[in-house]
Amino acid sequence: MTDTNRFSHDRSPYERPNFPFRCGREAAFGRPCPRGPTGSGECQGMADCAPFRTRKVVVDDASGEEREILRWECRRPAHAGGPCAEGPRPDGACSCTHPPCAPQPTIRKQRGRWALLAVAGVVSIVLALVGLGGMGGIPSSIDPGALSGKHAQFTAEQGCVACHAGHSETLTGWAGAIFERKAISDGCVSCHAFGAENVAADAPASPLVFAAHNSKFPERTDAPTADCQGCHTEHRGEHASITPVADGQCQSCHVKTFENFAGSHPAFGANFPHESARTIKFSHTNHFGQHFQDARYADKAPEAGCTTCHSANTQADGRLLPGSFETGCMNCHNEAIREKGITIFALPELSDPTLTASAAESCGFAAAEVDPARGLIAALADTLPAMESLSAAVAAAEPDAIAAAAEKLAEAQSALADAQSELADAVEPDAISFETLSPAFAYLLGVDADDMDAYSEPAAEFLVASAADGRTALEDAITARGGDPAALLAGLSAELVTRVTCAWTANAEYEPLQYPESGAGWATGEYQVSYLPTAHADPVVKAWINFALASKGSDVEQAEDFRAQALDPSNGPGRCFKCHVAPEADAAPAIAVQWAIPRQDIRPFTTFDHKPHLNVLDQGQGCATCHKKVEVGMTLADDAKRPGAHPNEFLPITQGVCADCHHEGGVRQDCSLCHRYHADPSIRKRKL
Amino acid sequence: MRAAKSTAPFGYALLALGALALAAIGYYAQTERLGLRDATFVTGWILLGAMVSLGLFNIRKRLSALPLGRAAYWLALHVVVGFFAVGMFVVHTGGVWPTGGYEQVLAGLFWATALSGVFGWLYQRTMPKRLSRVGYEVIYERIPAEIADLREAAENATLDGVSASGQPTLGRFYSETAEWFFQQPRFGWSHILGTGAAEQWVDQRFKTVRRLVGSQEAPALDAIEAAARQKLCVDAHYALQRSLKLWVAVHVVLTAATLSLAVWHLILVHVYAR
Amino acid sequence: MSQAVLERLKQNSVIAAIDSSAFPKTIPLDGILANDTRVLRLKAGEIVVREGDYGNSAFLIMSGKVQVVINPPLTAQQLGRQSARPASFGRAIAQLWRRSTTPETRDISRYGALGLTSSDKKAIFLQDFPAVLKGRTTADIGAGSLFGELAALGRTPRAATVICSEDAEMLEIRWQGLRELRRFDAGWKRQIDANYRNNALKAHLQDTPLFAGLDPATLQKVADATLFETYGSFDWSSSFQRSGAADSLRQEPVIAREGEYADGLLLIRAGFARVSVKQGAAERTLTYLSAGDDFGLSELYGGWKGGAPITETTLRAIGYVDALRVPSRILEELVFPKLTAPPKSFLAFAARPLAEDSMREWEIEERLVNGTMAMLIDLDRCVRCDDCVRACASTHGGNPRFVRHGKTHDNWMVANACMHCADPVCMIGCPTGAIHRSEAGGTVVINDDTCIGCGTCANSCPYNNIRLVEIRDLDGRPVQDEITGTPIRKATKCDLCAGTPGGPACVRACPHGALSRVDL
Repeated sequence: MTDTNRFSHDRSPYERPNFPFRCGREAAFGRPCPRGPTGSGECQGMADCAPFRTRKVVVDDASGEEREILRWECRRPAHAGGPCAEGPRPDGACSCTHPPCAPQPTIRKQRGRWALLAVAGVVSIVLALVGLGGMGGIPSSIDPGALSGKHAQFTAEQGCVACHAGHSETLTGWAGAIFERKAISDGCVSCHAFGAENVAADAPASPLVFAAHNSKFPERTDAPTADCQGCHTEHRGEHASITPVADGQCQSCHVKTFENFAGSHPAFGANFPHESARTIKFSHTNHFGQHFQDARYADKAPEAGCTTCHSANTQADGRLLPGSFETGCMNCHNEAIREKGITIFALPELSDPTLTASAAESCGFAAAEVDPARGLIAALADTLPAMESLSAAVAAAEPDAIAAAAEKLAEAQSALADAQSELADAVEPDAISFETLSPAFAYLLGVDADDMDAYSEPAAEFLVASAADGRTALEDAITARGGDPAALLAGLSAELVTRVTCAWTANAEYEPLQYPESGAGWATGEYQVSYLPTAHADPVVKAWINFALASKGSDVEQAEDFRAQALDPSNGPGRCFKCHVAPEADAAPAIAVQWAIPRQDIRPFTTFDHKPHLNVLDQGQGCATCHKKVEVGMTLADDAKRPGAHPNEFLPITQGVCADCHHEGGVRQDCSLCHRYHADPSIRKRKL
Repeated sequence: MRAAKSTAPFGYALLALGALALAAIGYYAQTERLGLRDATFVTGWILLGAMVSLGLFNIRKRLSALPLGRAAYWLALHVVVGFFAVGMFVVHTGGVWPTGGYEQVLAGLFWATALSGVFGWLYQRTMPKRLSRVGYEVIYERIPAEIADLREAAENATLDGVSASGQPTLGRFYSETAEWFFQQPRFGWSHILGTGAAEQWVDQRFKTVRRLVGSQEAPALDAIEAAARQKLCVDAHYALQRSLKLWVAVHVVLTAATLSLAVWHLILVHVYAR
Repeated sequence: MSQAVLERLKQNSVIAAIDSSAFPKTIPLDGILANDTRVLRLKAGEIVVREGDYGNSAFLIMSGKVQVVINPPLTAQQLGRQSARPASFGRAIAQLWRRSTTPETRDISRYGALGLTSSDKKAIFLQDFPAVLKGRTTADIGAGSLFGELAALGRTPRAATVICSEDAEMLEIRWQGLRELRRFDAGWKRQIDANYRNNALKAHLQDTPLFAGLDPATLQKVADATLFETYGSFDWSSSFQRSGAADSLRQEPVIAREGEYADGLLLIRAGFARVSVKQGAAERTLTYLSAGDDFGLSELYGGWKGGAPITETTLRAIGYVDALRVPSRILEELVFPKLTAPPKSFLAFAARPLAEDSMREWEIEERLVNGTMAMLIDLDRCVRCDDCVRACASTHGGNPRFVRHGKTHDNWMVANACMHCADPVCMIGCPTGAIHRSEAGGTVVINDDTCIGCGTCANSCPYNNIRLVEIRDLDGRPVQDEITGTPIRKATKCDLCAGTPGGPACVRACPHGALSRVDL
């Protein structure tokens, strides 16, 4: 160390850090031997040199003989100290010998060994745990993390292959997997369905199932598609939520991007949330403002306020639908329903009375059993004596006689009038018929209800046929118009039809037959066949209304009157539309009545849960905290005033109402709180 | 004096490029995620590519005969790609820690490799100054011989001192205390952490024994102390150079393990993607 | 050289004129002629020496004529110059498979057929040389003339190209022989000096920026007045090795002393000189001068302008200095009137903070300024990973060619790697010429085929940068001299990775940018 020349060129060899082994004596911090180990780690330093035998020939001066001198010479290299002092042993062995060392690998060499060991360790542990993994709680080297709770049992029977087809594949399949990528989503939709058409157990998944919002926008061919795992990442642990949706994910498609809900969510609809088409004309204003204030009906007022009808338990798609007719309206409005029915046909006046003759035959009696003329004469004959006796009484000026005679005369006159009338009836049978056809009848026959000449013949034919065969003619007519006789004539007996038509044909006194006898349903009073609703939502009435509405587009002229009658809330079946909203007559080619409040929300991607909001209602305000009634003098948005819209009873709920709580630092305000991605998510009906 | 051309501008340019690439890929991955698509295969392959190219640094060192550009540029590349890979890992996994069993092992290895890399990067930038401040330079492989020389010098000095004075003081001192010190490098952590414990030990021992030493032995004790002081320098070099080498070894071994488990991960995700 | 040739040689008038009795017994003239010379027969158009080459021999024309091309020089293409070993990617790849963990293996079968000299290079002919030389300044040299001796003695590149203008026979004298001839024969000394004055001096002066543009007659005037001076010891390296660098400043011969009257401009032709100035109790080293530099110009200019031409700084020879002294009257007459601005004084260096002297002084003390490609390691960056050494080994068949250890100052280390010195003292005394300047670039390389492992170069190198290795055959067995049993050794050193594209592998391999090859 003090010797500055100890590393001079002749005293130190090149250091060779590229060699993998160092002299073992270095490991004990001794002085290494000059030769060092071989490249493969064998000690070659047991002797410092390999002595060399030199041969020298000398000539002996005395004898002149040549002598060969053999000597061992040290050949220790200079950097190891040069020839040693002792020199080689007589046998030529080096005298500077050391016990062999165990050469030590350099850190670099060891580093390589450790790295190989690490690779081998990783590979063997991985392979071992592929085989052993899962047995007795040994972790598996393919363990990707626990499934979320709902999927946790999936692996119970089939194992990983329940979702991962690759799990069961052979090694070549594994190798091929790198070049071929299949979506795991196909497995998801074998259980999860989106849209009713997919719910069946074995229905093939619609190609649209991976389209944005599933099959909701089939016409949007440019809509992006997404695999399930784009959002749903499994194996994140049992309690991990696998359905997080970031606002940004919504906004990657929805180009109306905004910072957050409270700040810049697009404004709600002008009449939100009341923009749905009305189905029931229920006026909160009238009921609460007038009817329930009336002492007569005060006892009918809902005891629990709004929630009497709008229970949080009946929540559907976030809406608190009102209770049914039976639980609410029926208390007051039941009787009125039974008051007005529909007249299918009333027996008409015909232009040619003889038409009825043929019908009489089928009814089993002759036409015109009574001769009205003879009756008239008899009555006239009865009148004459009465007049004579009156004259006599007047002449006698006998008051009692006069009175009696006058009474007698009056009776005779009355009988004469009756006879006259009978005669007239015999000549003109209308006397006991209607001069127009009912709209339904006119529609069925396809004739002008007011033109007697036009309708007489078909009506008579129809009646004659009805008299003969009961319902058959009616059924045929209905069928011809595309109706369903079974529904439209449910409960109508053939006998009833026969009787009423025969009575009409015979121009006989008709005994009204109540059928059934409850006072509602089919009835034949006054020479007509009519139907009175038996209760709310009577199927026959609904069938007739639907039949009438279905006539839209028919080329039968009378259809319009028929529909008008069916929709007229002042009379007939149209009475339904006093409460139910009538379809707009000139709306679509085929119009239908929305009888029930639709369960399908008009905002399929929006959800709302009233329950969590109930505890933040203002004291005394209740539901009105959000649902504020329109007060006099308030101005409503035009949208709210449109015909058919909800009565202008409640103010729209603006975004600001929600944002009172849902804002930065307040309650959650991310998209997925109110909006959902999937349309109609459901689980397929599996064969169990 | 004239140093080698600095690689800093190259490094900063690379860093900017790497940051740009990371931002672009991160943006791409985020767009894909928001667009309900799965970008993990793309980011995973990029990450694997980055990791493999990091491993290539080692290969380049073995191919030093080839004109593959200066290793200094490669190191700059290695460092930048290393940071890039860390960012890529976060982009790929969407976090720092996965849930799966083997994935946690893989992430653990990755982070260990990355952290050892960052540590080594800083360590390699600070330790050379410490080494040059020792004021003595020695090749690592020569250290055993140096220590043997010093030990021999100390032993000879001890014998000289004992024979010159006839007193066993130095002999006792050597066999009781100094022999332990001269046997092999000592106080490794002290030298690495710079606590000064080694210097303190030498100061204290020699100060104590010097009181007992007469004028005949003093030159011998001086020689022993000189050897001890010199050995402090050797020890410092041994500790620091060894730590620099062991650090690389740790980094390389972790890299090997990480890459091999990453290959397993690669196989699994492709097989189990269906 | 056979006895017959030697006898014939002695018939030559020039050789015959040498007084053999002036030579000591240990170095007889016959020995010099036999060992250090050889007879060459060259054809017209053949290039004898090429400008820019490093040559270690002089040529005595025995018959025929040569032409010296003075200006403009021939192009490299005309000279048929070729790189020693063209850098090849393929060879670099081949190195990958040649990395052995057995040190220093050689294909010893190559050594068998080789002679002792390495100058068996192919002759380069200049086709249609009269046409090529047309328009160029040339000088004719005829029989009895000596040329190339200055480059050989000064270990400087050849100053000009020499072409045989007709078939010629000439005696090639290696510089060792030339040195002895000059030393022991007064006539040769006179002639060499005269030749220098006539041939090289003018060219040298012409190359000096100060005298550029002078017409030949004026230049001759300058040359005639110029003195030819040598300081220090030719074999400075051995004394440097013995005494080390301690306090060398006082031992260095003074060429010009601070405060003395300046009588001429000093032009350094070869070697190194230190410029110092008194500072406090000692002297500060300001800078050093090497070949081509001048000294004293600013003082002389000041004197011409009317001041006192007092030397401001001291100039000392570091080792060996070959200098020219141009008298001040020549400058006053020919040079100064044309100068537009006063020349810079070395005192400008004295403005440097005192504390920053140490590095420069260290470089000079340790003679590191000699290096043109010294391996400089910044210890503040070096993590001691030895990647440089491994890279070196992998480009040299698994054998490092330097030791990452060396002289250290502050955080700088100059490792024991060949510095490819401007003054390559290692080349002095090589018996076979195995160590030589490569023909292009001047890299000092050792021809392994002709090296006999004598160790002369390694001992000459003042920097311990050449190491002898005991070689092994391809099977890894040590190779021994069959008669003496001594191991066969070869001198090895850094060759700047000749034959490998991309420059020195050590520089490329350093991951921390700590290592560089610099011209100090």
